Amino acid sequence: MKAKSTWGPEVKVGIFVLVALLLLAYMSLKVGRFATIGWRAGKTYYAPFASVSGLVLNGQVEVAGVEVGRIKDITLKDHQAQVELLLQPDLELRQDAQATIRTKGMLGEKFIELHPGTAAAAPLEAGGTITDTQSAVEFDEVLRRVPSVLKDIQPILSDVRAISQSLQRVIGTAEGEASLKEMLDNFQAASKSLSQIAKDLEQGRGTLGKLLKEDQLYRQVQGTMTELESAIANLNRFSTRLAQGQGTLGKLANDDRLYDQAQQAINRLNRVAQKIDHGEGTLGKLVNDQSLYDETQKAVKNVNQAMEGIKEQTPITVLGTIGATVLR
Amino acid sequence: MHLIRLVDVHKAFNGLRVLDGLNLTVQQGEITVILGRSGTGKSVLLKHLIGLIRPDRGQVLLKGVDLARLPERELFSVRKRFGYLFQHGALLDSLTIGQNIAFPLQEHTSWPRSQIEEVVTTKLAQVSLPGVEHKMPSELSGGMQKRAALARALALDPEIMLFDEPTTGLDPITTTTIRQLIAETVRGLKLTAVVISHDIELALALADVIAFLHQGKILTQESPVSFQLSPLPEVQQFLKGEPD
Amino acid sequence: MMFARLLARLGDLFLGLLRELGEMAMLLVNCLLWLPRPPYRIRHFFGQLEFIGVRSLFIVALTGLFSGMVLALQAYYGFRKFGGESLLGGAVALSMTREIGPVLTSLMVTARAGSAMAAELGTMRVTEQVDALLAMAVHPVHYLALPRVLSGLIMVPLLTVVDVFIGILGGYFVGVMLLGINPGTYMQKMVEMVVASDLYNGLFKSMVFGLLLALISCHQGLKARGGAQGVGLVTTRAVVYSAVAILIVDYMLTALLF
Ligand SMILES: Nc1ncnc2c1ncn2[C@@H]1O[C@H](COP(=O)(O)OP(=O)(O)OP(=O)(O)O)[C@@H](O)[C@H]1O
Ligand SMILES: [Mg+2]
Repeated sequence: MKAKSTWGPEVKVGIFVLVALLLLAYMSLKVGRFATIGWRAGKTYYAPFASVSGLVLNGQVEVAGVEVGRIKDITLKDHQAQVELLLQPDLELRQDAQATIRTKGMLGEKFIELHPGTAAAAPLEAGGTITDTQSAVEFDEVLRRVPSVLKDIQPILSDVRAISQSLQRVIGTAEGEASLKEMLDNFQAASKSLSQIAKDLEQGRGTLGKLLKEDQLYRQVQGTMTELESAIANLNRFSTRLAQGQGTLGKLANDDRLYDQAQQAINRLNRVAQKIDHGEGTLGKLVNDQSLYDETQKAVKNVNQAMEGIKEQTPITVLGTIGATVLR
Repeated sequence: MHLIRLVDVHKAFNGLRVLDGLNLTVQQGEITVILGRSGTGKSVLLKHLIGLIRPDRGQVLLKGVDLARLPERELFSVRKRFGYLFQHGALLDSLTIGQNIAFPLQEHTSWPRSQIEEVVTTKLAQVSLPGVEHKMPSELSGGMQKRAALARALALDPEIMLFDEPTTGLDPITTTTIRQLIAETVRGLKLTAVVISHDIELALALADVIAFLHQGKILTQESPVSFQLSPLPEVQQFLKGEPD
Repeated sequence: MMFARLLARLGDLFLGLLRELGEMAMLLVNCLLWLPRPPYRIRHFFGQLEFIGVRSLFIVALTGLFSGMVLALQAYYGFRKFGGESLLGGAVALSMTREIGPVLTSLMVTARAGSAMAAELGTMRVTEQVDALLAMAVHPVHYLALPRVLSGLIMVPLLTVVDVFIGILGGYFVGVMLLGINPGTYMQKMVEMVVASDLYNGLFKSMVFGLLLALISCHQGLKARGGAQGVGLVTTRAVVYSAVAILIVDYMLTALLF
């Protein structure tokens, strides 16, 4: 046999197979997330949630935005979702640790955010249960509550308007200055809170208007706004006149019933306003939580862009479709 | 003693009756030459002997075993006892000549490589083709390919040799060489051969028995001497080469 | 009358299809039966591995590169409509591993090696080389079909690995270098969206395709009749049948696997 200058098929096949297998191993390592193998044997904790809707196996667990573990298992236990967390071994949890289900951005996947707890609390051993948990606040849930809240506020506002109108009629009597003074203070506090609310709402109005496509809802919001505005205008006018010392308050002084009613209404209003201002309740959150406002605005922008994209009805080529399909 | 016996063999292709009630016996240790005009079905007949074609009707008996009904797997063990030279050589064109001749040896023996190479060299020399081991079949002429194929058929020194026109397309000198080679191999090793030919001279010189195929039947089967004197008009026409 | 003829034609077609399928199943069974039996023709087998695998490398790499690049362009066009450009890396990688890689590789191997197999075996058939094998008591399935089918089964997935890898490189080139997507985002999304099973299911698919195309090509080749024309006919059939079978089986496997 003459010596061959080129390689035989065995060598070529061998090299090819080797290269292909190396590429396969490389790609497997890349997509297999074996990089986290270091704490594959980590500590296990449990956390019960009222709802884990959208949470997936192998999802991330984060502390302050840093990945510290994975969701190992999700089971149903006593009508609650029991989530098994696999955390890296050097993470120390306390008894007052908190677990919250959160969403990455508007469209992102769900993950669990952990607050390991304060140093003052006793440590939580591996295998323990994190009791302080909060399920994800569903965005659509928030939106669903908005109309009922608005409905609650409406009667209060009409009350306020009725009272301020009666008050306007009785202005002019010169009696009961001390009582009035007290009332005036209350009113001032209330109106300040109210104007703050009005300002906040005004900021949020555009967003809400766009989001709440439902006609009825839109009308409700608008009605509420007009009422709110006229109430504030009334209050403003009233307080100006009072400050200038115009009119008489005689009738007011003689009619105890009216005074008591007004006082009660104002107190109620004040409480509501304070509550809203402190960010309690859904409306309060809507008004005060800047992050939710930002998120909403982003979402609306995204939705709008998507809508425009759909409207354009641009033909999508076959490969584009494939690309989109596999993203399901 | 008959080694091979064909009884009432019928074979038709798409309604064309090629073999039509054919009977033939082949004796052990003899060279049987089958003569016949072109297109009468000589090649078809030969393929029946190793089960490459199965008859529509009739028996192909090898030592009493009917190949026509033998399952495929048992046919394979039967075929190992045959050497077959195809009319057009049928060398495997992806292998060199040397590899072609070594092929049956590699498949059916566990001989060491050196021994196989030795056999290849010897067989090639016997068919007057020394030193073409490394050539591809397509690099040889038709006659050379035929001889290389003959070397391959002889490689295993098979019990029964079937040659489809071993000397067609060869010059007179090579024809004689091949004729002598076949005669020596068969007689020397006491083998059996069935040879197809148009070549009357070759038939007369080589054959123990000549069989004449005409219209799907063996008209006569006799020794070369009596064949030449046959009273059959078809035989006489064939021998004299008279047109119809 | 006309209608009856039409029905008969349809019936013929269907029976023909059934026969083809039956013959192919038999060929596969035969291959499996011959697989463990000696002799093991290692050199011969390596020749087939080289022919189907190594020699298809260039064409497969080329198609991989361009399919990855065009995928990136097309996906970018689609994602830009809703501001999802960052998903480009994942989209390209997913398409390549799950769909484009296996299918395009198999189609290219069909075009390059399947046609050659059918033509080679067809020529062997009509020049009596297959008969010669039989006469030498060597089974054509054992000697001719088995190494080819096995090579298809082994080499097509390996070629797919190369195709996918180069396709992803091509997508990266277009996405990051030409369209200006942040390389970190591109890689991150890719690693995040593709899971190992995407890769392995794709490779499983290409294994099936490799088996199919080799089986069909060998079957057609061994069925050749007549002369050069017959060889031409079976070569065309081998390519057409393989391509159609690959796409149909691709749909079925995708529906089953993913
Ligand atoms: N596979 C086949 N399919 C259809 N017809 C065939 C087949 N094989 C042979 N035939 C027909 O059978 C007849 C005999 O062919 P065969 O090859 O046996 O002739 P032959 O006697 O060997 O002729 P020649 O001396 O020219 O080689 C021919 O008419 C041929 O057309
Ligand atoms: Mg012939």
